[in-house]
Amino acid sequence: MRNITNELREIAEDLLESKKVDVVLGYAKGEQPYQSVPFAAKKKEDVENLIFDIFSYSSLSKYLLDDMYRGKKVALVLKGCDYRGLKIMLDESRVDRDDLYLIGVECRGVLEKSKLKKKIDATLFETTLDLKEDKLAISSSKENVEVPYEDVLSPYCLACEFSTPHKEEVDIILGEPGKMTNKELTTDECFAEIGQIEKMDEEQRFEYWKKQLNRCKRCYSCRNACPVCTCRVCLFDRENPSYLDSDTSQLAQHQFYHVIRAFHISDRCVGCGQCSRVCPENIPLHLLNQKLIKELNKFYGSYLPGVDEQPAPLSFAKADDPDPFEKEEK
Amino acid sequence: MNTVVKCHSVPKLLEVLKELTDDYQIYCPVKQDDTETFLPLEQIEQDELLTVGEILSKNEPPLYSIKSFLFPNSEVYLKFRRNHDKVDFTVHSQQPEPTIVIGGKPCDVESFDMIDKVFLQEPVDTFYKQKREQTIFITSICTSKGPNCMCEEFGVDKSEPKLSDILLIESEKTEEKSDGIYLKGVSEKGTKLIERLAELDGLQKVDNSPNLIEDKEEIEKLCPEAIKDKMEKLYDSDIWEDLAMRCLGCGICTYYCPTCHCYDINDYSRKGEGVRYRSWDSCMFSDFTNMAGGHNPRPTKADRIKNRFFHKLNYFVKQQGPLACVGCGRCAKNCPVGISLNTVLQKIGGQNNGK
Repeated sequence: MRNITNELREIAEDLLESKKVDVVLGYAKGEQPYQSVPFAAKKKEDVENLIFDIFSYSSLSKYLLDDMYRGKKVALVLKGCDYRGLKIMLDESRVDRDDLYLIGVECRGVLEKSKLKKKIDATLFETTLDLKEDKLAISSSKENVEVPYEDVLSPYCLACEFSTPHKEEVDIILGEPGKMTNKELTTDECFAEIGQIEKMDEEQRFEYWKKQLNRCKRCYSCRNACPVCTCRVCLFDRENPSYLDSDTSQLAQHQFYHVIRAFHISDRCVGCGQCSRVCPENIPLHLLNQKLIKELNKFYGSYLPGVDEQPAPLSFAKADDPDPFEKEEK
Repeated sequence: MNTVVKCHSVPKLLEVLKELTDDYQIYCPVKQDDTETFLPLEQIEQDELLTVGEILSKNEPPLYSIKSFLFPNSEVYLKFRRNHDKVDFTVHSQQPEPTIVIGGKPCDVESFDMIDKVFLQEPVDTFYKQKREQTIFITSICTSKGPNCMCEEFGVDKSEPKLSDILLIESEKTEEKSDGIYLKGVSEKGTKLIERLAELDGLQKVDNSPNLIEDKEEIEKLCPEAIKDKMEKLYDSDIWEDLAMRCLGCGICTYYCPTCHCYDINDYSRKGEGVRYRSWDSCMFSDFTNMAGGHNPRPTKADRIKNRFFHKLNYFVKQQGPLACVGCGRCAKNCPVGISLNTVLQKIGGQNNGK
């Protein structure tokens, strides 16, 4: 993978110097090892902080909805999934394309730090990573190992077909589209857990999710990090009437929150995986989303949010729509 | 003279402690689904006991702080029901059960110093006070610093925290063998429990706990007054806007912080009866200081971030004396966009005693 950081900095400097944009929204190195964090470069001196690497997880488009970005010309660094999230916002007229300068970047997947930690018996502080053609070389004071990308890459990235935005969609593209791993995996292979959960009986499945969701602290990081959760006022933030009880000892309320959220984004999810990644409690929220995508595709035919044109399958109804609940009626 | 008992391993200790489950609720940190959580001792499966030991011997705090044992995420305190044209109220007060919490770290237990200052001064928070009196904290001490740890900078003694009831000391491991686990009574209620433990099989009274030799690094403590003054100058700084440009506005930093203690009050009612409860609130949420009339004195994310750091590094110093942080590093570890207390300290050059 070509290092595009330098090109990115040049473009950013040019954009800011020529006053084409007020802000370049990209990534910078975080304080933690192997951490890239969102970064807004506002002046020439900020530009040297910009980077792009395999830890540049966050979707940046949602920041555009924040008041502090309103009325500003913003340049945005976008991976393939990030562009899909932005396209939904553009289609819904939430942001104005004329205010944006889009920098598409070559993405060959992002590494999951949790998977990486399992591969190496040392703290991430002490290791160096080297990206090779089809393997990741990890070296530390203790050992040197090479692991296949499919072992450490986000499951979403392994099945991703839109890793880099199309040339026509963005103002400039850095790097060349390609896949990080040679192995082509199907969605079912990437999310093998879904198959296992499907095999459980109703009670086991309920127990599984009860255990997972019971850890929820209702910090709302999954919602806030989600690039397609873009309601002006979230239903769960409404105070009058209040739909969600803030009593966190009530498991039903956790289920209500996560299930409703999963339904709300089911035909919008662009598969960035940020919901599970930001969850401090490791709740496998991506499995809920993937399962719903699978079901939607079964009932309404394949639809790729942020790629296919709208309307999305759940935004309209036809008389002959399948009714999976029909047989349950007495 | 502190009373000390010795046990040969963590699983053994937990087994012995099971004999006390009739008298105490006992909680332990355990790893489930790759996630650290606290569970009642009797719910911990045999094959998970090893993970308890792993968590206890780590030189960094567990995922979740122990503050929720004294200040639960949600807590009912009033019940009400409609009685014709009147409303009947009853205070919902439950005498908390005696509880033992194993596995807090020195930073965690010292965080109660800050919460005590707020909840135990008049008017006393009786719910907190009762739990504070009924809970015994067994703190596993640290022998070195974890990757995000700054406890000593914030004045925490990582080998001898003041507020712990009992210290859990693991003797230095040689290869794969450990000489044992020592429990040392510190507070009155802690010492009383140790005396009782000494009578149980599997635990023996010993003269003293090992003095763990550690590489004594001279760490300069942060000076609360100096930090407070430096913060004053930062009130109109751009830093809050800069941080707001990447903050997600989620509640991770506040919910996982051992010293954050803001709460909100809500009613839940159905068919003429209900409860009033308090639940944790987060100053990162957009409705944090939203008034009934719709006015919000902190309308932007930047205002709210500024408030969080000013509370920790300025307002609390002014009102109570210490900085409202114990340097546990949870914000650094868990914030999805890498904002931590250290981010702000670095800005004010706080790492050098704020001089």
